[in-house]
Amino acid sequence: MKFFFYLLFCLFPPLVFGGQGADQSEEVAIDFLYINANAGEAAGGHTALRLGDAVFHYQFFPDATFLLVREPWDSFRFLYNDLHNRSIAIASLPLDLSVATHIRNHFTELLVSQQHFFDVFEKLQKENHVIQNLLVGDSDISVSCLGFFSTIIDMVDQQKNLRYHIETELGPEFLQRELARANKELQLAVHGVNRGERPGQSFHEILDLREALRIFVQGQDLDEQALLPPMEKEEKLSADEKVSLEKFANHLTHSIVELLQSTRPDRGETLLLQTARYLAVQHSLVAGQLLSLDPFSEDVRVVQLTDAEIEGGQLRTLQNDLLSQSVTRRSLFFQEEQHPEIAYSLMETSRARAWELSRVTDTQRRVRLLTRVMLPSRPGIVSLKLIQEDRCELQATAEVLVQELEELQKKSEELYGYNLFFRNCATELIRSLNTTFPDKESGQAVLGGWLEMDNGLVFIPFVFYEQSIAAFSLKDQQFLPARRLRNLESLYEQDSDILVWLRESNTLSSSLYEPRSKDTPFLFFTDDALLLRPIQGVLNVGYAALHGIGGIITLPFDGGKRFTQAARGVFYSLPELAFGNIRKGSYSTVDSGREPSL
Amino acid sequence: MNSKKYYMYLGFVCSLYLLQTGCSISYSLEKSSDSVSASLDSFTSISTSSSGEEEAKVSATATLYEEDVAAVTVLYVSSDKNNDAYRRQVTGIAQNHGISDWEQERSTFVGMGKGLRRAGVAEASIPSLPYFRSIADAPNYSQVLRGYRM
Repeated sequence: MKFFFYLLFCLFPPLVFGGQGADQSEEVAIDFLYINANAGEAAGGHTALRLGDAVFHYQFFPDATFLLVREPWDSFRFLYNDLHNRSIAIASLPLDLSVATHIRNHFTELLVSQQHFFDVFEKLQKENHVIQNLLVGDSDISVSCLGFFSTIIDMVDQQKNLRYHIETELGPEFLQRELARANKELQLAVHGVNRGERPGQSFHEILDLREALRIFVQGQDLDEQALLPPMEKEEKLSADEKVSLEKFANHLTHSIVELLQSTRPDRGETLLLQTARYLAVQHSLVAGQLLSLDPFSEDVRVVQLTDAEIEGGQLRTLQNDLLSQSVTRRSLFFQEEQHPEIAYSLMETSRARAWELSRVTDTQRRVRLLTRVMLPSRPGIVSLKLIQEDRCELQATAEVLVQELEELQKKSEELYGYNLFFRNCATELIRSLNTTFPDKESGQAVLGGWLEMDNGLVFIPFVFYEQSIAAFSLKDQQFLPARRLRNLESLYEQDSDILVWLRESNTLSSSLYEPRSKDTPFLFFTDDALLLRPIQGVLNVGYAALHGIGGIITLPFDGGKRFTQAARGVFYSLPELAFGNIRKGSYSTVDSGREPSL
Repeated sequence: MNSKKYYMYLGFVCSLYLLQTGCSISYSLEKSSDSVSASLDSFTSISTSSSGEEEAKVSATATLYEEDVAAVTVLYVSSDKNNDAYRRQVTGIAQNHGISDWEQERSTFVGMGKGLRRAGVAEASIPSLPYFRSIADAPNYSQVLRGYRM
């Protein structure tokens, strides 16, 4: 039966994958991955390179950028292979450890360069925002992390303790002296802006530092909305946990003292965050409950849950999963000795996710989503009344900035734009691999082959994979069937083939699949039925068309949503008429019991 | 002949594909208007890691961070060696990995040392680079050398 799946996995007859298991030898290899197609995402298939425990691949982002992404292999496999229900073919290229490391380092450098480019872009946008606001008479400037602090000026005990530590280490006049210096620097920066100078990055940095020093001197507490309160199922702090938390508070105090002496230009924002975290820890110790800063930023993604999600079991299972993750990370944070800040951030993020989902009720369905670890950054506003700008100079500055932004946007399109033929997941992977080496000859000597991104149809992911196998003499091919195919294989082993096929070949009686709107309406799974595919394709087209008729009737009520889904259903069935397959169905959160890492 | 048929076949199917999405779309940055089930899906990859993965998460994050710092150090050496720009870049990388004060994180300096070696800087020349000159007398400098010698 396994062979049957391997045969059917191939969208195209020339592709044949072997069924060998993973190469368990100690030889270092880089792995070429081909992930077959599915509806909605990467309908043309996808490619990636596995370098050690990380997968590097190019993804299309909603802002039309096409970027290199690094993900842990386990997360990548879970997402594509389990949730998106797509099979993954892997072919290995054994290499010397030094070469494999060199390739991974090169990809990391590309990642870092990419991040630097967009950081510069973002800072220029921020600078432009300030100038544009000044042009309309708005001198309010946003300061990251300042929003965690109360506007009520009242020296609280926790701040007194912190100030005592600072003054013990740096002298009683240190904070006042530094605040006076920061104010002077800010004044100079403001005068510069008034004279038409560009604020640049340093303007924000001076302001951040001034605000951090002001908070120390005035001794403000956290704003009452700054902390996420304890969750119902969260346990109180144990005696050991309190000791660990006090140790972390000492770490933060040390960090604050060091930052105050540091020459880092951007230390102001970090000082504000470390101080807010220090206060969060102190409040936790007083309350005997773990409290943490609210890390949700203003532009965080928001989703709205439906009745089905709230009333069904999905939400409850997710709430439990996230709470469990939060408990695990809390425990790991209290044990961590080497990297306390990383462990704290992981705990802080998972706690925020669990808290956010725990608030869902019939009336509160809006959920903010943290997809990765985020440092808390709630901004506060500082109004710089001193700015009395020369409008002509300011206008000239604005024009320069707009021009720079346009140039950067153009460069972004050149460097990080998407093109189906010339800049897609396959071509960019080849380009990135090739640029690891100074020239073709040296690369060929090390890799044992060479592939060019303009080599015929190599931009098509499965052709890329096939050509890679040929060009680099890739060996040890491995095949990870999609989740449904894996489960189907188990059913075939337990029951009569014909009964299983009859039941599982369609979406109406399948025990392995629940129809989802994302998958579009379809009747037959065609990824495991090569010979019947065109016939099933016709039936799928008909089934989607019937939904379309229903969609016309419901058009006034659902704004054409059902009709659009039906049209997409027809669209994704078209390749089936020519023995092709894109749609395979996908899985949602709850029914995707995670399997051990492969 | 077979090759011709093969390319004709490919051409047909590709023409269907061209009308559809090309490459993988970022899962984490899906538009918020996506289907509701996608909204719960968004939680999936962050909620289902096993306890073993969780335990390894801190050290795995530190390792990736160290790699990134090494990479940015290579770029620093090959660029105009702007001290402030380098430190700002390290800040950006640290923030991505959940580190607020990178000067208190040992991996930072180990990563810097690794990057210096990779960039071909001789050990004796490290203090001649602007940033490293500024920390040559600080305790963290020993971590730079440790990373360099790894």
